[in-house]
Amino acid sequence: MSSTYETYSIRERSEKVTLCHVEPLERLLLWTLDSGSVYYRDVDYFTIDVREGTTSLTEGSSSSLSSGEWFYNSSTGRLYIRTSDDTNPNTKNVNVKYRLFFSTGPFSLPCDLSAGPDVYYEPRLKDASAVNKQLDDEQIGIALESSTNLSFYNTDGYFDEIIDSLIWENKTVRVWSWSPGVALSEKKLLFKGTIEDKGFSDSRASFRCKDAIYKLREPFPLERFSVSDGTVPDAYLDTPKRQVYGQFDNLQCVPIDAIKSGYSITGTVSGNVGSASITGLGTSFLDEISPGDELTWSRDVEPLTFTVASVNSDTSLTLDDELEDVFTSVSVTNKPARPWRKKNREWHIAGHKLREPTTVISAVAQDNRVTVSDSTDFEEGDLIDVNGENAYIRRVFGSDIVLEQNLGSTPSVSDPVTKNPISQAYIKTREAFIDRDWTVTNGTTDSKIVFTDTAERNVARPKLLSGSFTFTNGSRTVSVSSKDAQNEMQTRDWIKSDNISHTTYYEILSVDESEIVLRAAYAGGTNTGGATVKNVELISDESLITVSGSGLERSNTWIKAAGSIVNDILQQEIGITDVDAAAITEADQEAPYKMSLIIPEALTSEPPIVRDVIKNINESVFGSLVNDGDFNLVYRVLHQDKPPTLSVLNDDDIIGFSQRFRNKTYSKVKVKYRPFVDIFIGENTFKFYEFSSDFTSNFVEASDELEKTIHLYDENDAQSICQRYALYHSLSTSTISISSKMNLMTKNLGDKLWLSLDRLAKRFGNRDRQKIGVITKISKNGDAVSVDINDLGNTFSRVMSIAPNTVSDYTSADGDERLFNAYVCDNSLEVPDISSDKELGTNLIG
Amino acid sequence: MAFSSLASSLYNVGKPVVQSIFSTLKGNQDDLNSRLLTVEGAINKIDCFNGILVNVASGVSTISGAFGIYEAQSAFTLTDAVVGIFDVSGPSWSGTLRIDVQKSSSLDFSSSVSVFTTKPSISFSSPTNYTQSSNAAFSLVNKDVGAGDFLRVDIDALPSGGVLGLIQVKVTGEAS
Repeated sequence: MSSTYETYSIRERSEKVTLCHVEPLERLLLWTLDSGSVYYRDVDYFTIDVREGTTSLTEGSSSSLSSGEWFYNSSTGRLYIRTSDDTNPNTKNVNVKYRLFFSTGPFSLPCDLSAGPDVYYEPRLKDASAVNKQLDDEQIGIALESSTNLSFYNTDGYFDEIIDSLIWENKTVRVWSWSPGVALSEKKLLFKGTIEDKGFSDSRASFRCKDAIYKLREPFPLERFSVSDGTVPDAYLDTPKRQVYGQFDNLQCVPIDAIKSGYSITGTVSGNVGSASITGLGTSFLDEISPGDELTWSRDVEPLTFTVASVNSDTSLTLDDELEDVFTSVSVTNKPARPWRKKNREWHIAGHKLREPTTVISAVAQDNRVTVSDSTDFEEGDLIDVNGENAYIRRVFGSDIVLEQNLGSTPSVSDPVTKNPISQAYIKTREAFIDRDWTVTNGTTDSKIVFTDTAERNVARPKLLSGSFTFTNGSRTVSVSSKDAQNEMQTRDWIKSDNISHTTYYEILSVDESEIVLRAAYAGGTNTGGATVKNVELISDESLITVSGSGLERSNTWIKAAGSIVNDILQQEIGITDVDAAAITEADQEAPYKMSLIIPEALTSEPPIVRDVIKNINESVFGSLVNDGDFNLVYRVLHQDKPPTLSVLNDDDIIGFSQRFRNKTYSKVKVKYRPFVDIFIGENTFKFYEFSSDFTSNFVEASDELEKTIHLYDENDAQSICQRYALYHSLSTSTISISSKMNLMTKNLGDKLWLSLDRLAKRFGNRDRQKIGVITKISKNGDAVSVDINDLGNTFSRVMSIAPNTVSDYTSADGDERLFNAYVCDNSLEVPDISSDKELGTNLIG
Repeated sequence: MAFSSLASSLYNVGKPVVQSIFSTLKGNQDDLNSRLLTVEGAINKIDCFNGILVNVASGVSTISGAFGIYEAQSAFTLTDAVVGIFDVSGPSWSGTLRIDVQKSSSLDFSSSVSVFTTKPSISFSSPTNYTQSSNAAFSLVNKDVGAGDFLRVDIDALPSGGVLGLIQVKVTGEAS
């Protein structure tokens, strides 16, 4: 027993065995005190886990247990437990997980198929249906859920006692292929998943099982807006908070400081029957109220609402009608006719922390050129804080950063540099600026933009007014002549004298034809002349507020590339931890493109299912999410590189093959990328790019067009992916179906195969009978394997690969070298050997 | 990595597209970029306005073009703007000294735009002699000056309490 699985798998005759572990659950009572706080009971099946409720206890090494431990004696079948608080387990919810052992033949093997104690494998496994794996899209996508049906003999009633009394649903199942002729360590995992359904008869029991990929059908888990987030408009309550990966432009924000039906004013008010006067106590009428506003007193009986005619002072205002009721020192809410500039200051960006890297200056060249110790995630166009001063980055090269403008004061070595998570913010169509108009609160569970109460004034354009405006020192009244002031301004607008020495704007309380009343007394010198007015567009509950910036940061890392995003979703969002970390790293290297992924895409929409989110990512970078041989999830990015470690598959290695072609060619590919909100029309949109393939139009004469949405941020990346779609769809795709012996048992979706078959159709390019393709479907059972191999529109033959430095020139190279390597082509003839046109159309950029 | 020539024999027709070609290309690109960064920092500066203004008037809304008009000979990006004061001791000052730079595509400044989001200014609530402003912020949209564009410095806020004898103005850019 020393041969490997590979040698066993190619033998003409060999004993093939299928092994199976099934792990049902049972709740146990009737524990007997052993000694101290240790209890025991005898169990019928091998125990692998004991839980209090949903918390697993620790497995001990003997019956001398500490608190929170258990021990199973496999020789005697006795299970010992000591609860976490040393109390009687009969008073607790104690669950026990068993492991049942089955096979297609009787064997005594380790309980863990490794070094554990031997147990008896019941020869009841009738058969396991073939485990199928297939991508839901030929070239990219997510593996369709693997499934299998397990069938066990039950003619002796083995399952009668337990099929209904133990809990089987959603419990773990594993199936292996093995042979007594090889070491147990050579066994191959055929399936790992959970039981979905069970069946029973007097002759057999069966379980229908699916793997972990089914979890991708759950909705993407997102926190929802609630009253604890602030004053959230009803339209947004209980809707999901956004999750944003990568970088985003003009993302619409949600108000959490809204006015809704009104805001409580400071202080209390009093009024008398027959009077239109309202008196305030501790009130700030001049700040909080304007003519035309509606005040409401919410009393036990029907609420009382009044409309404000004028505001006289901080403690006196006049209604437009006399009161019919008396009230004293009551609180009122104000529903303003024009929004108040101290509400709608906080706007929600996303339900997580945004990327905010920090570094320090290590050298200073000039006031706009510095070197930092780590420039990771600092990019052109970023808004950074250099020791308290904000500046935009013009260029980054290595660790050198060039700013758009000089800093106000020369920075010093060790000064901190922080990238602002938000680089731009817009109040409707006007850009607002950091610190002067807004700041960002970047918490671990929510990120928000907070506007100053002068933001709208700052972004409004000044309007010069001629005429005669008399500003009087110490007075709130500005007299106007030769101009109808009502045509030029209204309450909550701002005005200043046009005198060069008078720079302060004053907020307007009311306007009539010849008089403007300010909310605060004019502090400048009395002056008559022109005026400058700012007609402000105040932020309301319905305003369009958009921001641009960097997406999710997790553990001080910017999650921006496809592989990392998929990994974050699997591990952090839906709790699948069996993910191949090395594959994620490689995927990020193959597809380092910065994504722009917003979940959900439209505000207030329900979250999509996880599968659809990953599908969107896959379509953006030609990604695939598959199971590997150990049923870990592996993320791969499809590309045409040909690993030099590939070994060739000849006719002797297979049972048979067939080849089919599918014409799915497009002359034009249009992509939508970088989603954003158009601030001029207030609607979600994308940037667009389209590519027309001259090759497909002229030679294939195809006329169909393909449209895709790809969630990439950078234009160059979007162009590359769009052109790659065109390349993959410029010729028919060939799929080769191969049936083989067990020699392909170790292959998985996304693996590449090198075929050299006597009757394979001669390939595009060198016209030999070799082909490289990628596995898009694989079916395995204990006896045989079949695979589908896709050549991605013949791109493996057509797209160049960088060669090792030591390969031969084209004219000296053999068929294998010409299959793997690219060659410099003649400028006119576009071939590496001008005496032959076989290579025409190869050595392309992929 | 220093610049190294790419031998033409490496890319003759029929040669394999080998890794060393790309290594050489990347190394050369890195080297050129590094040297360009140095050169750019050293000799790229453009002085649009750099001087002093005497006897600054008051009682008006704006003083336009006190420093004349600058016509750009080639495209560049504005990187710095400063207003400075000299000895201002004596008067009881208040208010603000502030300049603006207007950009126009022609000598007609009726449709000109400010190049700032925050104009350089010095507060005169408690002015310090021989101070320069440090608060200018350029508009990302208007900071780029094209060949043939015109720039004009305006004074749009003056402190009250006295008459400023001298002010310094400096506006610079870099070819981009």
